[in-house]
Amino acid sequence: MPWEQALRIFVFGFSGVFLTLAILVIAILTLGKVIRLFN
Amino acid sequence: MIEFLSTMVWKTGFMSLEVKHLIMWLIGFLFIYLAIKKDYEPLLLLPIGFAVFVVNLPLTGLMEEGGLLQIFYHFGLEWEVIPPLIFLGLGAMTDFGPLIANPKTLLLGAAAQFGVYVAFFGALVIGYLFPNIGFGIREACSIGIIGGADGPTTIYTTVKLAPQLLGATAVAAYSYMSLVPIIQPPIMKLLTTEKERKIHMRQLRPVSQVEKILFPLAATLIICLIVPPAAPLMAMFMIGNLFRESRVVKRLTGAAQNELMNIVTIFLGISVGATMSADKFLRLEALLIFALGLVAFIFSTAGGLVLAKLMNLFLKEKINPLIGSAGVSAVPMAARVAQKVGAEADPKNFLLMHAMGPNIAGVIGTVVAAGFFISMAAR
Repeated sequence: MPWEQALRIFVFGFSGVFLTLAILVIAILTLGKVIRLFN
Repeated sequence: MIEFLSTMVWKTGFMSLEVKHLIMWLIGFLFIYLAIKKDYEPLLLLPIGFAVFVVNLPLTGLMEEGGLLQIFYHFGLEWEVIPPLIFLGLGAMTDFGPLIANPKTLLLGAAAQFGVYVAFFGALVIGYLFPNIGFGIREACSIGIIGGADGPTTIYTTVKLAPQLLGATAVAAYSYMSLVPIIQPPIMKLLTTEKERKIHMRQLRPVSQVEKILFPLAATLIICLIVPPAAPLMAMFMIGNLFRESRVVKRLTGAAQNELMNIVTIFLGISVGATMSADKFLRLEALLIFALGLVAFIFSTAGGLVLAKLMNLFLKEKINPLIGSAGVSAVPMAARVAQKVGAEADPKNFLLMHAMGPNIAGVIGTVVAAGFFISMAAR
C-alpha cells in the first residue's frame, strides 16, 4: 500500500483546498474594496 | 416444430434469470419507492431505480457494446459530459450573494471536506487489511469524495479514477444527500452547546451586481490555475452563474436552469443506474462503499462545525457554528437543516441565508478537492 503517496495526497490535497479557497476569500475582499472605491 | 419452440423459449430472458437479478430488481424498486413515496431525491433516484431494474433484465443487451444504455453511459459519463452540464445548470440557479457578503464562510466549505480524507484513509486501511477487495489509491479517492455530498463531482471523479465503482459511489452520494435532514442534526447537537446554537448573526450586507458578475470570473481564474483538473466542473459552474448574473441572456439562463438541467438529469440517472448490474453491485465492495460514505458524511459535517467553533475563538463578531455543517455540498438542504436546528434553539434566529454561504462554498470546496485527487492520483 503506497502510504507515502496517500499521506502526500492528504497533506497537499486538504491544505490545497484551504489555500485555494483562502485565495478566493482574499480576491473577493479585494474586489469588493476596489468596486467600492470606484462607486 | 418442438425444436423451434424450444429455441424460442431459450431465447427469452426467463431462462437466464438468476436470484441476483431478482435482488437487483428489489433494489431498483426500493429506489423507486423512496423517490415516489418518501420524496428522497426523486429527480435522480427515480431514473436510477428504473435503470437498475431494466439493466438487470437478462439478454436485453442494453449495457453491451452498442446497447442503448451503454451509449448513454459512454457518451454521457465516460466522456465526462453530463456532470459538467449539470454544473452549468446549477451555476445558473445559484445566488453567490450570501457567499460574497461573508467570504470567510468559504473556509467552512473547505473544512467540510475533512470527511473526504477520513473516508479516503478508511478505504486504504480496508484495502490494506483485505487486499482482495481491491481498494487502492484511485478507489480510495473515488470513495472519499462521497464525503463532499456532491453527486456530479462524485461521478466525475469516479469515472476518471475508478469507473468500476461508479454505481455504488453515485448511489451512495445521492442517498446521503437526501438523508441530510436525518444524519446531520444529531451531530450538530452533539458538537455545539445550546448557547452556541443561539448565536445571532448580523444581517448580510447587500451585494452589488458588479461583484456578482466579477465573482465567477475571479473564481474560474483562481481555481483553474491552481487545480487545472477541476476546470470542466468549475468553468461550467461559473459560466452558468455568469449567465444568471449578467441578466442579459435570460433565454440562456432559463434554458440552463430548466430544459438543459432536466434533460441532462434524465440521462444522468439512467446512465448511473445502468452501471448497477448484479455482477458489479452485489459485492462486498458496494456495502463497504456505503459504510465509508456515511463515515465521510459524518466527519464532513463535523469538520465544518469544528472550524466554525475555532474561528469564534478569534472573531469579534461570532458566527453561529451551525452554519459550519452547511459546508457539505447538499444545496440547499444542508442550509435548511442549519436553519431548522438553529430555530429549535431560538425561534427568532434566521440562519438560512447565512448558511447558504458555506453551503455553496462546499460545492466549490468539493470540486477543488476532486481536482487535487485527480491531479495526484491519476496516472
